[in-house]
Amino acid sequence: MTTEDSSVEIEDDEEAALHFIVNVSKGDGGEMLEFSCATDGETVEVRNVRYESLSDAEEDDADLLAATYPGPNYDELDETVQEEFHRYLEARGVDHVLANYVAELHVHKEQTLYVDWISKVQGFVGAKE
Amino acid sequence: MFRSALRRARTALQPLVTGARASAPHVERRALSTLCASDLAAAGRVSPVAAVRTALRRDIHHSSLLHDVASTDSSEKGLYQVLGEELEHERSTYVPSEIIAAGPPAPFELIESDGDCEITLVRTYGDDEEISITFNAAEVRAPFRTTHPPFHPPRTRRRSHHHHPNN
Repeated sequence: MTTEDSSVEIEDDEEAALHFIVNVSKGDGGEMLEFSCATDGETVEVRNVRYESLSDAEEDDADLLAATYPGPNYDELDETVQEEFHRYLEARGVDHVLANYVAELHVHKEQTLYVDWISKVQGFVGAKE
Repeated sequence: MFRSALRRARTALQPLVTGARASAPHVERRALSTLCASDLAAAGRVSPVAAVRTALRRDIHHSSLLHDVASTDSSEKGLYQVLGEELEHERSTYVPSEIIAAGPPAPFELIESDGDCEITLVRTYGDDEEISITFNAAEVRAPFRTTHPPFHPPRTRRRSHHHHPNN
């Protein structure tokens, strides 16, 4: 393998993360787990888990944000706990298939928004010219 | 030579594509047009992908889509016309992937609105669980596996239980 090939391979290995939120609510929304996740289109990486209850949500949003516990530093959780959180999400369909779809959908939606943006801007400047 | 490098770079450059609010084909064209002599010289020492990446970063940082399109023919074409050409190009070249055409993995349902950057997938699980997945299409991607700073996600709002002060 040449130096150039090696360099290209390293560059190609650099993936991009897309952040998404998974909410699992039960009891008519009375309680909720909020998973902050990231994906490269192939795997799901959990970065934070927050617990909320309805009584929390009845407070003012700003106060709520400052007062509620955001959850532990996820990276410092015991590995077995992290693995079980991962399985918990997988059981609910938050897996590599969904990760792939989310990544594709991100690109597709952005393309749709981009085309819509061009169309609207063109219409705007056309009205002036 | 650089055409093949550009094709390889398109995947690696996805974060920059997102950041530039431009499609991959457009970024490829732009990267080619913005490669300069120093990039080509650098390519001899590193790699074509690195050279393209350098060119793109410079390009995205210092200019916009409209600058690139209009700069070559600004004396002959107005903004309205070049936007029309870009629009036609995007509409004629972009084809949604098979994954998109197949729709979300069952039993997830897609909830989105035209012009709205937020996308939500919903499903139920078991007797009383509701699962929702939310993300923003305008979000700029970041490196996936790094020693990232503490992640502070945007708070999501409860649709059915939000307490309004006037209530």
